[in-house]
Amino acid sequence: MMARSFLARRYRSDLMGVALLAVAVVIGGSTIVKSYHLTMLIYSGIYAIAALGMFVLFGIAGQISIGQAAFFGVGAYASALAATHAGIPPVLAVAGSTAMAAAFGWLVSRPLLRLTTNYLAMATLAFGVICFILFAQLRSLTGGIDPGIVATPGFSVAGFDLSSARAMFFVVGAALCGTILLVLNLVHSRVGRALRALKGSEVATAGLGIDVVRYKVAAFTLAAGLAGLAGALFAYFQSAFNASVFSVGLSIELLLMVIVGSVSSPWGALFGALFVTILPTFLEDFEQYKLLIYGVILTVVMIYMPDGFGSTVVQLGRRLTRRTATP
Amino acid sequence: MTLVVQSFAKRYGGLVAVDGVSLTLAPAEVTAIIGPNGAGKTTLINLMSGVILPDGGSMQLFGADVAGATPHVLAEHGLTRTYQSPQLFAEMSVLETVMVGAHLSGRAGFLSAMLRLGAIRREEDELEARARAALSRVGLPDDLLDRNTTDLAYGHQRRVEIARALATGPKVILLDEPAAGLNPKETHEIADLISDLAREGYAVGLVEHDMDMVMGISQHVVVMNFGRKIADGTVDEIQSDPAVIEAYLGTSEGEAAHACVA
Repeated sequence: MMARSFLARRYRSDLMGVALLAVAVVIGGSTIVKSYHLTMLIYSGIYAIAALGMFVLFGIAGQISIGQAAFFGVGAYASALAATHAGIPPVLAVAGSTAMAAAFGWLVSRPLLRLTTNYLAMATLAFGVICFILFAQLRSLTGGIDPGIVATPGFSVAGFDLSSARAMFFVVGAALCGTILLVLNLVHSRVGRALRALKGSEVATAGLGIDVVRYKVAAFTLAAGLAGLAGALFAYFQSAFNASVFSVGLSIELLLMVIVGSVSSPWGALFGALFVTILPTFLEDFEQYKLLIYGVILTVVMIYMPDGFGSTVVQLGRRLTRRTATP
Repeated sequence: MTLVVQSFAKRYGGLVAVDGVSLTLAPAEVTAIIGPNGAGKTTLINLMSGVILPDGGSMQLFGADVAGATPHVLAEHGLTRTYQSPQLFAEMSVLETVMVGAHLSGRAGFLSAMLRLGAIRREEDELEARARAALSRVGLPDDLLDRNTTDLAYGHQRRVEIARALATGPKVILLDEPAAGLNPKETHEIADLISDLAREGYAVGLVEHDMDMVMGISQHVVVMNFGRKIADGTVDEIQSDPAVIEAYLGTSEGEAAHACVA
């Protein structure tokens, strides 16, 4: 048998990527001066975590969801309420909110995943809208649109205050490194292959002894959990927020991050999150056209770069370097 | 008997696609299912593999009643199949595709895969070894293993599909037109492969239009027409059966002549 195959090589280069990301977080966190830049990167990191969940569900398993904002919201409210009312330590609150969002995802996935393609998109969209209305109307719990949640205590670990932007940068950076490592492990595993197979041909996958329903449900649950984790971190960083954050717009942005980034590599989710987070700052004058612009980007990317904008850029770069390397 | 099908029936509205068909598959034998176009062969293989549910009838796999079982349960019982148009996974390498076939021999779940706990690496190596064995069994060149399956030539895609089926560790393999779209040389090679698989002990169910191939490698032939089984026997018995000759003459002279010559 061949010594360690190309599969082991691919896994190793992905691990290398995680190490580089960790180094980048450390360097970035200690050298970036402007708090505005830190803040943008923190938001990007938070959204990237939720986008990684979306990547597992949509990119790997091929199941669409336009309702991820609901799980993001559950994570955010659960951790905010746990911190303000129950005084639960932040780390536990974040873990608990993640689990709660995942459990919620598991609960709704069974009926939702009876549907596929456009029907699944419509159903998850409707689910997201219902949750948004609930967030806005259950005022005794969420504070609705006004005043919403005010003054969530800052993040801390074992009594160490980590509420500053710089400290949160490291917290989110660590969470992101951990999340992408877990997702990469999944991709390079029996389970990840089964999910990718499911995207390619559900019938053939089932014919190989894979319980496709169970795998779809698990992917949905994981995506919900990661959206919840992102929501919990968001709640601690933002400290004051209202229900308007968790509208359909956020669900669409999360989907956009994966499509713009890459549907075949988890690294695309990081790129996509950065892109979608920073883009609006260049479009401040066009606020009311935001969804229209998103729609155009989505359409253009899907038609001309079906593998994602990020992947296309990487491939283009590779082709250029190869061309210059071999004159 | 390995697989026993009794009076399978499938109706689509007023059309009876499969009408009370019974057949058995035995180990170390190729059982061909033939018939003119629209005879219900593909519907029958879809029923046998659990892709569609029967309206009536029963099926036993090694004595266990499995009528109406889903494909993944049938695969666990040792029955797998290939498809008329190869159902390969886009954006997946050949090696990984066949490793999906080896899925059942692994145990890692979501959490242990994500945390990559201790035994995972060894399990991955085992799955890979199993996939490589299946791929070399079907004679796929080693240098194709890291290519995307959908980039391969059609003949190679067929082999990958058979390798993927073999990797599940089956006892029964159903092949839906494995020679469709292949050139004569490739057809000949696939026929040899199928014949060898039967000799190794697999129970092979074969739906195929290429009569030379069917008559050359089958121990047992089931003939269908208009959803019914009209004959069942050895190659010699089938070739002299008046009902079979009539069925083929009644639909297309070309095919009938072909069947008679074969």
